[in-house]
Amino acid sequence: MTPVNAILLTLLLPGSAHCVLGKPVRGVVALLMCVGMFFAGWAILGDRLFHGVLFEPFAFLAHLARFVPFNLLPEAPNFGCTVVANLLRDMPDNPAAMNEALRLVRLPREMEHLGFFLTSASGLVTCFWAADAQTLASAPPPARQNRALVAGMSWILPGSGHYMAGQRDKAYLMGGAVILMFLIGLIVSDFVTVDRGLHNAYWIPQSLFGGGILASGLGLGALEIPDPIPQRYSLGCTLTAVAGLMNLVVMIDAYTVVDTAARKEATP
Amino acid sequence: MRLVIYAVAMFLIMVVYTGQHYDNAGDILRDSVRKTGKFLAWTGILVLVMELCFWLFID
Repeated sequence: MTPVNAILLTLLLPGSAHCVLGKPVRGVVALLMCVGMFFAGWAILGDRLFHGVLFEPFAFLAHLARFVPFNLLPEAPNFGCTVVANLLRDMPDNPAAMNEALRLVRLPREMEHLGFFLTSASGLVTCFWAADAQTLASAPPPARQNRALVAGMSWILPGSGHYMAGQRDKAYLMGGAVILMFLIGLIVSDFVTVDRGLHNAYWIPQSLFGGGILASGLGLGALEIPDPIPQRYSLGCTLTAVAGLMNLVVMIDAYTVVDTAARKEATP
Repeated sequence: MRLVIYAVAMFLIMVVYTGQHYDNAGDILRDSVRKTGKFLAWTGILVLVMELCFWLFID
């Protein structure tokens, strides 16, 4: 199997590429994690999940989006699950019933912050499993740590991947930079910026810092936005989103650090 | 206050950016301080040019 096919197969059905590549236990764990988190979140959210679509597609893409919710981010990498959820969605043809269905999508649900975290996490965890399948398929030199695991650990706690890879002072510095940026964003906006129900576009980059959206989404997401809104509300949204994007760099660097070390050790 | 947040945010972004190119914290800090200073200087120049354009063509 080629590395690209391993990625595509994992996105379609998490764990399937691992089974084909002779790692059935890892495949089952991947399947349970990705599918389990998605459907646990979906059980809380129902059709409210589709409040998270990034944009309404143009007319010529609307038919495609009816079956394939490519605009539902960051869940879209968990392709198989999002397609199933989309096909099971209540989409009546009757305009009056459709209006009622759309009203229900806009209605906040109890525990929806947990639901949004779980579905988002399923999309991102699928990406880590896809990276793992790609690594298995390309058969690189054996590394001391699992490459995808260090990236995944960095997603939860920035810098922890570097710590596992042995670069401890770099771990404190890079991880600290991401966490401090996220905290500044929260503080300047009175702690109300991480809320997918209110501003989904910011949630997509924010979700690249898993520990951040877990802690602030569950702990602070339900806070009422003060009236008038905090003076630096938009700045807070921007800084927390930038912190997520910074963590994307940290995750990729953690993967690269482990991979580079393995290739150096393998070179005679 | 806004300028302080801008400078701090720029420094933190530079820490992560330069962190990809070094293996130890000392080198990362030195390079990120240098790059932050450079970026702030360019920001100042950009703001001055925009103010000048405003003064020449709009005001």
